[in-house]
Amino acid sequence: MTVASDVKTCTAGLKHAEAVFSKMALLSSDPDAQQLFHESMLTIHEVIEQMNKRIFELENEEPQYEGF
Amino acid sequence: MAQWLEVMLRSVSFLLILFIITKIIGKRQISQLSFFEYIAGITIGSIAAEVSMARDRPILDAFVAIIVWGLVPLLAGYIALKSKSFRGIVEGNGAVFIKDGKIFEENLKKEKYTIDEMLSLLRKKGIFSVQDVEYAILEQDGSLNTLLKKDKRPLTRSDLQLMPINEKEPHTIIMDGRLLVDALSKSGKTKEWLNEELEVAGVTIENVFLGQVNSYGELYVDLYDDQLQPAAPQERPLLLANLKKFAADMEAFALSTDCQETKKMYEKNAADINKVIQQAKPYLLN
Repeated sequence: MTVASDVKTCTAGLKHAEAVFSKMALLSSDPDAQQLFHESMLTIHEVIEQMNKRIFELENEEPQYEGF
Repeated sequence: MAQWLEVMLRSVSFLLILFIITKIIGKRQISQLSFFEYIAGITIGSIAAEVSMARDRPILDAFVAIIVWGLVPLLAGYIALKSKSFRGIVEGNGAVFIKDGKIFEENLKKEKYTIDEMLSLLRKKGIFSVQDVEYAILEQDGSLNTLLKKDKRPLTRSDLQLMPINEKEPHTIIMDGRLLVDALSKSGKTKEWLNEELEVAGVTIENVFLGQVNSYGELYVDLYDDQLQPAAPQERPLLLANLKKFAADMEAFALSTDCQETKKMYEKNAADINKVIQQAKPYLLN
């Protein structure tokens, strides 16, 4: 059984990574780099959605972890 | 008119004429003189010097002479621009010194170069062994350009079959503690962005001797006070490290869960993050 707080910490970190990719996509001057950063951001975003779903499940399964 | 006044007037007027002529002839003059331009340059200089000192010479003569000496190379340059054969005559052609690793002695002789001079030119390029050279050519301006044999050339990304990656030139946006507004707008950044970056680095613009923004929109600053260490941009390597950690986390989650479906989800996430790492790695390493 994974501990919900670990999953939440990891998801928060991923959100930060998404934000950094998004920022770099905006600030880079090379079009190739811009596109690559943008695609990376989208992939990370999908992963975050999966994780959010999992967090929702975990909170329902184990109400004692809610809000951690 | 007083003598000194006349000398001064003549000097100033010829200085102006020379300035205009050099502007017309263009930048090429300075960096790569052809033999023709070299002669013309010296002659124009001596005419100007002669006439500004010798007051008995009529100033009009000097004007005419300078204009002829200035115009003819200009005209020659223009024709050379259009015609390849004329260019060969006026500016000369390069001479091949080494081909397939063999020295062409006749060409050395023709260009009046000794073997020592050629070796010295090679050494200037960091080449000490002639057998490493595939091709060497003496350019019209007297410099030797070399092509090393393929296996002696520095390793490039394409040798390693790595993904092609491109970086744009950095822009210098702060000099001597002053913001260069033109350069800032050319780099596509705003003043607000700069203020934020400077705040992150913990400096004010007055303390910055030089500030450059790179291809990734990161600001590098050099401060007047060399004892101070401004915070260097660390975001990209940090992001790479974090991504690696997240991929490892996902794998750990996948191992510790019993539910097959969840396991699969975690494994897919790990694979996705690893793919992002693979793609973005060349851009994230410093």
